[in-house]
Amino acid sequence: MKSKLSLLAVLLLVFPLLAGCWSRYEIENLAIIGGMGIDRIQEDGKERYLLTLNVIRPGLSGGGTEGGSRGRPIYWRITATGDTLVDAEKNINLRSPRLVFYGHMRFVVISEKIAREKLPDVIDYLARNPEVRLRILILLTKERATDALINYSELENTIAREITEMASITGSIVSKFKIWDLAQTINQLITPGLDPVMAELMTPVTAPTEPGGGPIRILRFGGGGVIKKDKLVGWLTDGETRGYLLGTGEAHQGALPVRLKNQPEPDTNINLTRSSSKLTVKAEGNKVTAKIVIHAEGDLGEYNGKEEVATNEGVFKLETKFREEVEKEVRQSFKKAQELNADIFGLGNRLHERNPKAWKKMEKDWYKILPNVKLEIKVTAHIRRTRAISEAFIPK
Amino acid sequence: MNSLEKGKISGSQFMWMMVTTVLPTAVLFIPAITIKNAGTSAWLDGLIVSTIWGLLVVTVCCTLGERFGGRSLLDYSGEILGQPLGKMLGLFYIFIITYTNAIIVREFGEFLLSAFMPETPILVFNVVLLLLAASSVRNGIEVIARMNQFIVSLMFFALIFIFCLIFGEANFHHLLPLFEGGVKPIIHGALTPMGWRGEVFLLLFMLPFLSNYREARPAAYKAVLLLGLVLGTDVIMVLAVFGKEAANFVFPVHSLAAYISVAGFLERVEAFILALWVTGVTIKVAVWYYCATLVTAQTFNLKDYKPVVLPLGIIQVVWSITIYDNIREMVDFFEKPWITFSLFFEFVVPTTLLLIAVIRKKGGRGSEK
Amino acid sequence: MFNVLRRKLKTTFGKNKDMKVSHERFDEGESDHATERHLITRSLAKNKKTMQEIFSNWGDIEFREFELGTAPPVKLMIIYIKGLTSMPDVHVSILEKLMLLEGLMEEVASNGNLHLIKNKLLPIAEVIEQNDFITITNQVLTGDVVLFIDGEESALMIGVKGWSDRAVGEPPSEPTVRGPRDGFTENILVNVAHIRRRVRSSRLKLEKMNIGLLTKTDVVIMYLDGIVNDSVVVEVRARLNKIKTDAILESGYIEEFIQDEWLTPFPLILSTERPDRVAAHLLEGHVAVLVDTTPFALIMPTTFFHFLTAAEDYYTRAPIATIIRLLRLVAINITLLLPSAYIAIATFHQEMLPTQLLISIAQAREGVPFPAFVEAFIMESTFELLREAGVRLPRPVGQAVSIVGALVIGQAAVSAGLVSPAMVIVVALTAISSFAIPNYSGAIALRLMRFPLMVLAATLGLFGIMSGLMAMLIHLSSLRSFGVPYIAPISPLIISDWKDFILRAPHWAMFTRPRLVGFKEPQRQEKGRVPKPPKGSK
Repeated sequence: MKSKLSLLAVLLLVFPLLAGCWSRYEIENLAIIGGMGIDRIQEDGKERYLLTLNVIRPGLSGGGTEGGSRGRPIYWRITATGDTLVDAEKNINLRSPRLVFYGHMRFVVISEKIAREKLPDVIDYLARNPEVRLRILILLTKERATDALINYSELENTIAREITEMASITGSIVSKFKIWDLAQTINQLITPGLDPVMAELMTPVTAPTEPGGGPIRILRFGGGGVIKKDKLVGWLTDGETRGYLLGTGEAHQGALPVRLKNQPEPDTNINLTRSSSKLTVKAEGNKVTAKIVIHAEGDLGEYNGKEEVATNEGVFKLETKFREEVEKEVRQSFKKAQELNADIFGLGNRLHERNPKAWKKMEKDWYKILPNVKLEIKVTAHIRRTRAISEAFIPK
Repeated sequence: MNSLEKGKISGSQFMWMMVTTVLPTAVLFIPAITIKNAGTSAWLDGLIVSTIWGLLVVTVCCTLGERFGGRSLLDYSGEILGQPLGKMLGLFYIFIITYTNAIIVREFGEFLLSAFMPETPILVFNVVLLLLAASSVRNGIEVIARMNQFIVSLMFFALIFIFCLIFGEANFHHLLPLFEGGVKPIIHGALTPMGWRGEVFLLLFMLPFLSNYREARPAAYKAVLLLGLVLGTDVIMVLAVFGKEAANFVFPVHSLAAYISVAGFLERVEAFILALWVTGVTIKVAVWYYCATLVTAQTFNLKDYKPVVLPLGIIQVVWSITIYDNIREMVDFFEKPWITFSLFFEFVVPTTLLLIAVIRKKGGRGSEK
Repeated sequence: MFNVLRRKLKTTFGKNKDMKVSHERFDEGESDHATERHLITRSLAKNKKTMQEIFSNWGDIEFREFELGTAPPVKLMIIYIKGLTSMPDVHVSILEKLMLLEGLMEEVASNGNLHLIKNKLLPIAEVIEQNDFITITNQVLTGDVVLFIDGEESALMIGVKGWSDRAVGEPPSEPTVRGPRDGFTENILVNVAHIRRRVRSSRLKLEKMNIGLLTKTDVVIMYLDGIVNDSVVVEVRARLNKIKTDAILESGYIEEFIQDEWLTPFPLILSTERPDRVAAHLLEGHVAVLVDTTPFALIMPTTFFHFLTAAEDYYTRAPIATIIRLLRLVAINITLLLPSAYIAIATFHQEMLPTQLLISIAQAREGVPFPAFVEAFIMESTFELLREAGVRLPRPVGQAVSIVGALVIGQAAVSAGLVSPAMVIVVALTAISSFAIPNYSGAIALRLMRFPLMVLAATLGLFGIMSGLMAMLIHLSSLRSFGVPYIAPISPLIISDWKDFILRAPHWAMFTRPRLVGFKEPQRQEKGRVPKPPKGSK
């Protein structure tokens, strides 16, 4: 009893003396980072990292109107170069009066050059920093990453929020890109027999969006970069990415334009509403066959043909088209993957999981075997309903 | 013995105390080490192999204790080995328990340092932790047991909270392939958790506090099985969420908690969850600390254990600071020397004592009472 | 450190020899002048003189001499204290009855005047013979009337106490929406009667004692025989008997003398001004101590969680009471932790906040000159100040204070840039939560604890808070109230007592008394008296 109280007293006496040091920062001393861009540039005749940070200006973001009226952008875009990433990070403080705080960083944009040459360095740098969260989104860009860190946002109040919302909400609506976070990226990178496809962030410059304004740079997702082992080897288009997502069961919703009759333009659109897939890999000797069973469901999103579709046969016809379309997309991206010789569907990994002995034999020359893998695709597709109306009102 | 401590604890209090004796630091360190050594089969180590080992340790220690009527090891070590050797054993265990406790304190200091406040001197954490433990020790076993009941619920709340909220991220494909590489990596991965599970050997010193020492054996078995379940789940969840990537995390459970994100709202909770963990570790340290002071008092035939608390605390603080240079040295220690070290004092010594007692016909029915 | 302090206290107060001497003097009896002559004499005049000596310089003592209306007349004298005695009783039941006898008795002398008066003339319930000056003096001091009869060796003590009391009113510190509205008053007899009305059992025992050598305050121990743990009663009795002091003015004096541990912010004895609450606790096996001139009863043993229950919990419906208790649990946590959590998160764990909130806080703090800790400390202290002022100030001024307080704490401080709006919300929440804790002394203990926690939070963040809470837990675990562990249903874990802890089970389900206090007769009622619709109805 006595000891405890005296202990308490000692604690209380000692602590104020110690106060004021160690890891203690007031909020107003922190530069809250929303996103980071990593580039590799030529400087003083050698290659260096270019680190770009989006710092949120708190005085401007919360109030909204007030910020706009003063005309200063909501973000402070700050760049620094360095021989290593940490060097560049420290060099930020040559300019910034506040401490760089990564606790709220939401995304990292990596330029193509980095992805081709220095991906492991970047991953290590990010994972090693305890402030950086495992949930940050990793994005690739074909352009300069520093351009992607625009200092304004179009709809949400911060750009970081825009990107995270797109990743978590709208991404699964279109199924044309898939953003992996840091933990998932690392996991895929270190899994043998599985090569990740990382989302691509495009930064096109558009025509003026507001009267009197100049052209501005916007952000757009689509497609993905294929990483083989630890290097970027090629890019997938939007469509190929959806094939990849359908094949791996990551696609949720999306629009599949199909042609019901033989004509140049698609006349029908099938809305994908849910899909799942199952992959099995068989190895006999050196021959590997993969089988993807896809289950897809959808409804009729758009139709302007003459034939009746709101009948049993009509729906059956649609389902056949649906099936063919899904299979076609998956095959296309599988073909692309074989061309790039990257195992984006994780065939090797599945073989490893189910048949470790066979995998052990093949592991070494897996990338020699991969181009010759035969793919079987079985799709079960269902059109469940035709949405609000049955036939087209004004058929062409 | 009874002159040193008058408090009595019940069977269930004892069981929870055994759980706390192992759990708080094991949860933090074991997943990374086992996954590194055993790969995807790591969960087997946590769930089964080390549990069997724990049961073995409990069996040996309880048999030994019960043979001598539920007295403390130091009460009968002289009887088995003769007075001088018995006292030597006491000195040995003073060293072992104090040293291990210093390691525990260091472990947690390292954890707090990496996870909470990287710029704080580790001395602060260690001193605060040991001060809290010391004050609980001075209040006696009953208060420790009572606090523990409350704190165990906090710890389980924290764990269940983590496991439930992260369940959506779990991908159980990561547990495949099973038994890759055969038995060898499994055994290799199990060695460290075995040493951890064997920490229940402390019951050798705690039997006298039970109101009925015969309750100790079932309670300790239950504790070991529960630990198996919890640590097994721990490894499974870490593996399912992060896969083999977890081997490279220093504190996978911390990463697990940090990875929680429910509906974009319930996230970033790791600091809160792991603050709850502080309480558990304090009790763990207090239990070890308590045993250390008790063994010291018994070895030197002191009438009261309280004067020993302060000097032992100082020793532990100093040790906990100087014991390792860096965190990798510590993790290396767990993977290699710790195994032999713990095996020796948790299993070999009690077993030898039991064998000698049987051979020399000490204890047992004849000499009971 | 505290050892030294304690030893010093002991030497200053405990070992004071003068005090002891005076104690001994007091112990023998308090009558200052008449110590050598204890017994009264046959002569009325002598007795009067003695009494006058005892009550010299007493303005409010009344000596009234008159004659008994017999033939021959007998000289009588009554002595009483104005203000403590019921005057109508003196007029009607004493003076009228004794003076207006006309030619009544001739046979007086045979039996003695004393018996005649006691048995036939005084229509008053409480009449006792006394011949000892000390007792007589003490009785007069309580408000009784003493009747001296010339030629008798005893006087009659007539119980006609009566002074003006506060009427029974609603207990101001523990109001309820549903439940009885009567609270204790300053009159111990009324208070005891309140309890007796609720528990009409012959097993409700009442032990009376006087404590305080000068004040001679009535103190009553109440318990239900057969339910209460006898060793607790013995302990309470012993601790009360040990009190050797000259004055007891409030139950707080008693509380400090008999509690288990003084150096703790947590109350170890529950005080309440609700008779229904006392009755409920007596029925669970607790002991109650009532003190005269105090509208508060002390209940012991107590656990920490008694301070979080209100009488009303047992009068509202069980599920609702449970939810209210959960709410209170939240309130406790907010009271204790919110300011320190704010400090810890704002200065150490900024990553814990949602990004939007962090930005808002950063924006709000942009112009604030103080660190979060100083900001919180200023605001929390201001709040405590306002609260204290609000309690202490005369009622008409109170409103002014609350207006000024609202302005100072809220609007002005924010617009002056002294504190951030977030901090105002934190303080307001803390304040509201602390008032949601039903027991005042419990609430104030928790409110005080948040200051050290704030310091810890400012030094070591969440780890600091946790170590503070650990220290608190160690302290709480080591506390006992009359042998019962202070945080009882949690640790030691008594699952059966959880029916009345955070959960409030329906009354039919609470068929056992709390294990640690009511174990002697555990059963309250039969098990399984679940209300059911009558058979046959659909």
